[in-house]
Amino acid sequence: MRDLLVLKDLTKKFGGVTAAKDVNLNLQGGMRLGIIGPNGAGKTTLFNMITGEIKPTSGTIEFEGEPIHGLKPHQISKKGIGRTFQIVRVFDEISVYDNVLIGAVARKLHFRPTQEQHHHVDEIIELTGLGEYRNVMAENLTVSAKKRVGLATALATKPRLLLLDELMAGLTFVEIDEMLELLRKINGEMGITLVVVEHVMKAVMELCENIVVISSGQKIAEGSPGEITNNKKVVDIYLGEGSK
Amino acid sequence: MLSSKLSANRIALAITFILLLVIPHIASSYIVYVVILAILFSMLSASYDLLTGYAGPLSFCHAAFYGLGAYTSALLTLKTGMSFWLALPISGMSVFLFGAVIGYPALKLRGHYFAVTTFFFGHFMYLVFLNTRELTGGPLGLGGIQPPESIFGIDFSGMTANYYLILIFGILMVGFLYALVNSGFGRLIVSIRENEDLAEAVGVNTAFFKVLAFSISAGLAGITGSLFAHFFRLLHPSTFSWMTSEMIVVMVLVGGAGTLVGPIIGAGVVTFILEMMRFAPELRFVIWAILLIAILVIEPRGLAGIYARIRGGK
Repeated sequence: MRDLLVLKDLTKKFGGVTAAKDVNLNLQGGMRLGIIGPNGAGKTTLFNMITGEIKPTSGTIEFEGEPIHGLKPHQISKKGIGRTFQIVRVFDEISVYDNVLIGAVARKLHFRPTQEQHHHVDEIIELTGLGEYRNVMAENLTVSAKKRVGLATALATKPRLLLLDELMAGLTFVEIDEMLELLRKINGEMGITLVVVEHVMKAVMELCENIVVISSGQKIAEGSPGEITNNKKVVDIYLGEGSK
Repeated sequence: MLSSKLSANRIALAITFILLLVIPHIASSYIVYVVILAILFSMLSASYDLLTGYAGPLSFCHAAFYGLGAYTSALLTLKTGMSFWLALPISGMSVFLFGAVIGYPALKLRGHYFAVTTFFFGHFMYLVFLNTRELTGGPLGLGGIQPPESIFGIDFSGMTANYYLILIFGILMVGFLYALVNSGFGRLIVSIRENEDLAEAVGVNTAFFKVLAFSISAGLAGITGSLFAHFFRLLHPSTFSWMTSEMIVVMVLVGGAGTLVGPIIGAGVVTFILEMMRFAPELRFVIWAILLIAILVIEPRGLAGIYARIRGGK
């Protein structure tokens, strides 16, 4: 099977700082991949390169066999890559429903949003458990609800790959469990490939089939959650060398 | 509750509409003249609202597009003998295209930088109107503009026919804008206003839609300019100076940006206040400033916001 996303020697330099160095990654469709690493390791930089927010200094990104590096964020979104942001972003002064509808309209613009689009938005609002907030202005929601709005808006663009940047940060344990259940549904029922950057280890370990560890812009390990927890390099980075 | 609100709005709309229809028959020609000005300003502020109220970028050069439409239409009819009925759409289209040419580079800037750029562009256009004497007559003005040629046997040399002509165009323009802001396009430009980076990330071509909103807004101001030119029949650069641009901004803020109906009411209110203040021209600007500050302090969403608070009880 062809890989959904291929990163080849991806490098990003900000002046003298190398935020990503020769990152290689092959991601198969339908997977749930976790990216972990210490603060400042370059995880968000990696996301921003894939979604076109920043341009790689060198290296290539292929999505469904097509090179996408150098494209603008809106073009990459149209190719089928959705994302959420580390610092939650919603369209503040419009309703939750209108937030999600914008995702659908951005995906395909009709002079009037079609019945099918409204239907799709209803389904997503149902799925993400936002029914009660449907007509609430997004800025009045809690962080946890805003994160679900961000996720719902991304889903409305009908992505095949979804990049989630610290979706669990700031959520309570109960909310994390709910979110995990939602993400499994999105992956299992809707067939959307997930890549999550996450600091909440419990979430990554429970959700992901595969984990990539990044430190100082470089990929230092890759494997199943079990392999990663027993990897000496990873333990050294997280707990300091010589621990154990 | 909702239906009573709707019907109250409908009744207000119907009364306004009937009043607008009968005004030339019940009011003095001075009042009719002022109402024509108010309609023209409503068209300007409604078209301005598409850009600044819905898409977000704060612009200070709407009067430049108004002037461009006015001079284009006047010169086309004067120099080439073209009919007003052809000059009007041509000026609208030219200003639309000109807006795209200006908007494309200018809208790469965001926030204050864009606002300042439009401010200087507006003043630049005023200086162009003032100094291209061979074309515009400069400070002496451009006279001799003819009223629209008569069609369907209607003669447009009098005030009443012009009133209805401008009223019809005003209603058409507002109807067009209403359809536009409620369309898919309207939703996309609102997403740019709310969060440009997020809009881009969910697949909105923000650069394209900002320029499109800017150009449509400019083109509609151009059409309004053409109507003004053939109604007033004398153009002077000062009509299109930055003061007019600022006045449009004030009208939109007073009425409530991003509501379409607010800016129209704002245009009406401000036009009448300014006319009533004719006895003390210097005071007009003081009144203006006070009005603007009062609105921003009491209710930043303008008259539309105050109305929503009264109706909604919050």
